[in-house]
Amino acid sequence: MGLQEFIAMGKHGFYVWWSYGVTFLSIALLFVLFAWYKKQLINKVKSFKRESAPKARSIKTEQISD
Amino acid sequence: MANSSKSFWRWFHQLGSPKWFYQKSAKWLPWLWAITAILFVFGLYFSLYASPVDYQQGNSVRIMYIHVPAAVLSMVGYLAMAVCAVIGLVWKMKMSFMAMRAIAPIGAVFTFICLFTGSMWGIPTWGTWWEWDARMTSELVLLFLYLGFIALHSSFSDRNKADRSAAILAIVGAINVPIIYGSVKWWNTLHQAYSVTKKGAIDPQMQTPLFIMIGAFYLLFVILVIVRLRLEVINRETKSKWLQEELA
Amino acid sequence: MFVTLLKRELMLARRNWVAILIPLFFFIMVVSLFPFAVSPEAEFLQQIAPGVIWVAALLATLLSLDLFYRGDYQDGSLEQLLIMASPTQVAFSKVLAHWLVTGLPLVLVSPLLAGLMHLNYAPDRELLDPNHTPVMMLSLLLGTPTLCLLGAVGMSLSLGASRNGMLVAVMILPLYVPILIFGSAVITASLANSGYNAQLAILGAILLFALVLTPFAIGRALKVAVS
Repeated sequence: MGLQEFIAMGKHGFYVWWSYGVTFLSIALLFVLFAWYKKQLINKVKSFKRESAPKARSIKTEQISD
Repeated sequence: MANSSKSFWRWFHQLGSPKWFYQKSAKWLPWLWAITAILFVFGLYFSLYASPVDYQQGNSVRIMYIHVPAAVLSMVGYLAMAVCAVIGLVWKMKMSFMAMRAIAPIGAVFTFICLFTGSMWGIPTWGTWWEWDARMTSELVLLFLYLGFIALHSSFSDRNKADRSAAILAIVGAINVPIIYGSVKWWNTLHQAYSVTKKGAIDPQMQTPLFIMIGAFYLLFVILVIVRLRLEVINRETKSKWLQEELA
Repeated sequence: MFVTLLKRELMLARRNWVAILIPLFFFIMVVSLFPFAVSPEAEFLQQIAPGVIWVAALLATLLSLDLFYRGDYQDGSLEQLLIMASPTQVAFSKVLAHWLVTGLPLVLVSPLLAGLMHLNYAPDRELLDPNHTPVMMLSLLLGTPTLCLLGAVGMSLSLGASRNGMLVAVMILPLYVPILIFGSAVITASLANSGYNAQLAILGAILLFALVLTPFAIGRALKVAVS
């Protein structure tokens, strides 16, 4: 069985490859979104740390938005 | 016996600690990734190449090897969410609500995958990308349930309220899923005009790749949940010292 | 205690009687739009009547939920009620009042819609005079309480949320699917001159099931909302 034949899958290749493609693409997209979200969160933690560190004596109104 | 149940409860208790989870899960992830990758190599080899072609459906039967695992996980995911909701409401476990929140978008994506692959299978088999088939319709309703959960959880400014409200919805939804499935199935048999090819007993040569793929999808789901749950820990423990040290 | 709570809800509803009538008008108007949108032919209308009447009843119930929960939540009386009585009692009184004030009138006004949709149309009048109206009323009688119960779950969950109008619909509509299926199936079966007892029984079973479980969920959700 040649590569051509494998990709064509007897007229059903289009549907099979689209299914597999979209499946793994949407899972990859989830990971990308998570990575992007993680970046945001780390920035949030760092900015919180910066804000709280110098004035450790007066921790009264730290407002962290989600 | 008493000893083992004691250690179980300790483990249960530890799992409830965000710090313990965050530190341990970093060590679990590489192993999980390795096993998942191996399973996918075998699973994809079998499902795309080394499995028989169905005499009726032709090569489009290969879509089943991702469609069925996605369907399984879309339902397991909702059930897991409801279990987390119960644990969170009864034992007030912090991590439980976080896990519930983490599962929701992932479960929704798996439901979408199930619907998409089902449609792709439908074009050559049914001649249309959408058929009001009982299983497909139930998956669609399940997707709506996931979206409703996410919508509710994200409409609160108070996280505590969001968790508890969404947990109640998850439980009510999970109780309803079998009722919805049963009624949709009944409704489907009523309208026999839209008849659907019945799947008979599955060929053993198709069974092996299917089981490998279900295993691979399960692990992938677990990895996704752990990754998302770690983010949720960062999000909710911003103010704790251990996390700042961890990320420094 | 329960009677006091129920009386209170009904008294509030009586004071706000115009707002209570709006869902009823909505119910009638939505149904009467269909002949314009599709066709005024009796045969055709009769075919779609079960679905149209049930979807309209469903939407009317959903729209009327706000009246029974929003006000009490906003002016703080919900908190007082939850101190006075158990959450389940409060939940139950609210659902019952909601159904008595909107669900029951819906059932009573539905023969009018059956007429508008030509539900009892028969091409051959001599053969027999079909009367599907009582069956339709029975299906609504058994189905609308479940709609109220499930809707109350969604409504009380969304009370503390920032956006809520559409939110309740998005949460609850998927849960309405079984009731919609069996509710309209009762009428369809009657139109086909076949037995509809099984469908009615299932509708009743769902109602009993919801009656036992949802008040706890509603009560719990109300407690979360005021916490």
